[in-house]
Amino acid sequence: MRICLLVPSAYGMRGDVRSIVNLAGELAERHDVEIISVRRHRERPFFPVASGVELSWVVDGRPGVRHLLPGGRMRAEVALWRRLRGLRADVIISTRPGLSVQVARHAPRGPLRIAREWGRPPVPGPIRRFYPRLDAVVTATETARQEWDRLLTGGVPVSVIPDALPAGPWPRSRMDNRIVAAGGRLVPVKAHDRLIRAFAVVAGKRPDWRLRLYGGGPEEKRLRALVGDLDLHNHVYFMGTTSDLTGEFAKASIVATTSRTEVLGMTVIEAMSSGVPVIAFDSPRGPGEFVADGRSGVLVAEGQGEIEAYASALLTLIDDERRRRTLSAGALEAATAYGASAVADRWEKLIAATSRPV
Amino acid sequence: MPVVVSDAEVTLADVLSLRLAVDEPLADGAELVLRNRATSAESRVPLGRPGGRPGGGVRDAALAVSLAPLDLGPGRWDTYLQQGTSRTRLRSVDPGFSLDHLEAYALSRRTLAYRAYRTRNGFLALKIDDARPTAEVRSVWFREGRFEVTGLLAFTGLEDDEARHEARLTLHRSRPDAELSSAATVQGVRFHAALSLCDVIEAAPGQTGTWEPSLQVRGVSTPLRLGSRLDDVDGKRRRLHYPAAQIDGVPIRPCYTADDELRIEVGG
Repeated sequence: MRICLLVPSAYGMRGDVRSIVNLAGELAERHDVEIISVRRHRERPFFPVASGVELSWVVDGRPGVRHLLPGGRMRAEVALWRRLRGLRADVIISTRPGLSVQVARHAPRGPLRIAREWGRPPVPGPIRRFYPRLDAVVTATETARQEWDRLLTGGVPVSVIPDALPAGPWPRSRMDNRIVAAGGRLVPVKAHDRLIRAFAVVAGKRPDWRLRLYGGGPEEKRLRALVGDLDLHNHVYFMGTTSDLTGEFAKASIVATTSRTEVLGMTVIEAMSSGVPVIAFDSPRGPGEFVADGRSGVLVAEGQGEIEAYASALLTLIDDERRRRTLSAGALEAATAYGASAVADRWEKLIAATSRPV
Repeated sequence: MPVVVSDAEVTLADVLSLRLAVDEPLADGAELVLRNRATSAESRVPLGRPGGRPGGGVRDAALAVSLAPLDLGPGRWDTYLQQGTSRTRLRSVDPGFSLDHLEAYALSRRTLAYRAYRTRNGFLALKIDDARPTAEVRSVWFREGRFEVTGLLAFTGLEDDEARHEARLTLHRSRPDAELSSAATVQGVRFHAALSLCDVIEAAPGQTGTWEPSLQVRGVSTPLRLGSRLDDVDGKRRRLHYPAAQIDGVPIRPCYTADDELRIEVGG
């Protein structure tokens, strides 16, 4: 079977890219798999793509590349239309509503067309109009499934398949380093400022613990200034980006996430696969979708006094090694559902069940 | 045949201790191959009959390899398991070290420091560095007009006890040459030192430049450079940004060099 995965960019450093690259690598064990990246903006993908996976792009956005058409949306849309019209595949899995609408409009009717969704449905008009032409919609969480089901009102079957971790073996934390780690792009929605403020309380009481922030982004300068203002310059390390987040999480004893929403939750899943408990805010569409409070991590209520409550949860876990190890075991157990082979099996079953009789 | 390292550590006696999860028992004549990543030089260690216990479907094999007699030079060494003609690079799920263990390891006087680690691609490797006596920085502060630094002495051979040692922190700069120093506290292997920032400005008035701190400790023959290398974080210059202080309008900022040594930048 030939499976095409259509993504906005396979070259970036995002959770959805990690998830698709992991899934493609596993599916490539049994099928012909191609990742079609609409844009290519660097020489090589940030996350290594398995050798059996074909990688192609629609628009080359690298600096210095000459183009026939003017830049912007027109170039991408015309190039994507041309590519979709001539696409030969058995299954097309498109990520993001913008691309799924284009697949519904322009891809040939032969192959199975499946939309992979993470977040809340955006502008409903084009989705209601074009999504009924697709064969299935697959969300990553149950909450997203209910939202998409409500929007599409039964026009297309909506099912849940979680994101995939890479094929094992996964690195495993010894839980003996006094390190709290956090991963994710440094952007406002990840609310790293809440984490740094909470860690200021922790550093005052447990000065030998360190916070390592993995990732980069536009918020870095502001966060560094905050670290300076709170006198945390000895405690907070800006580790930069890494293609091996699970390996870095495995050096930590706690993974902290303070996102306002965690639509993807790849960092949370990766932390659990390293056997590290996660502390997160219990926000709607947040990490609560992935973390079971008291079993694989700790969820803290949002609202007034949230920073103090988060700091207190961190301190409680820092002081209670036995609980950390119990949660670590729970996290490892929960992560098995996200193993690449388990997830690829579910995709194969869905494809078999959705296939139209010839 | 998949071979996965489930535990890896270089012990205080420079023995690489490994626990392997293998599908089948290791063949007679199996060798551990260490290969230098830069020079491709190889060192082979016959493994003999490994200890361990058979587990449900997967076997455990415990190995211990003494590293000192292998005469490995500084650098990064990848690890392979050679069985007959087949060579398998060793995958690892273990980070290969703990920070507390690295501190304990640095208590002894050594010429080479060995550290096992897991590469970004998930393989076991060894990092070997020259181990000079150094002062490992843990915290840096600009407080009340003073530069303060705390940390621990590494590879000096001093005991981690309550004994106090006489010590001085010296700051040195060149072009124009200047030097100033102050008394420091060393207890066991922990140190604390402080210097007035006004003295730093007055020692080379109107001059921008970089000061190199060092610590002289009675009982240690060479001055100890201040740096931060006793962990897995390389490139602290960009990862740790210390805040600057302004003394008489002149900015002063501690920072790290590309090879993680501490400096104090004045002006600019």
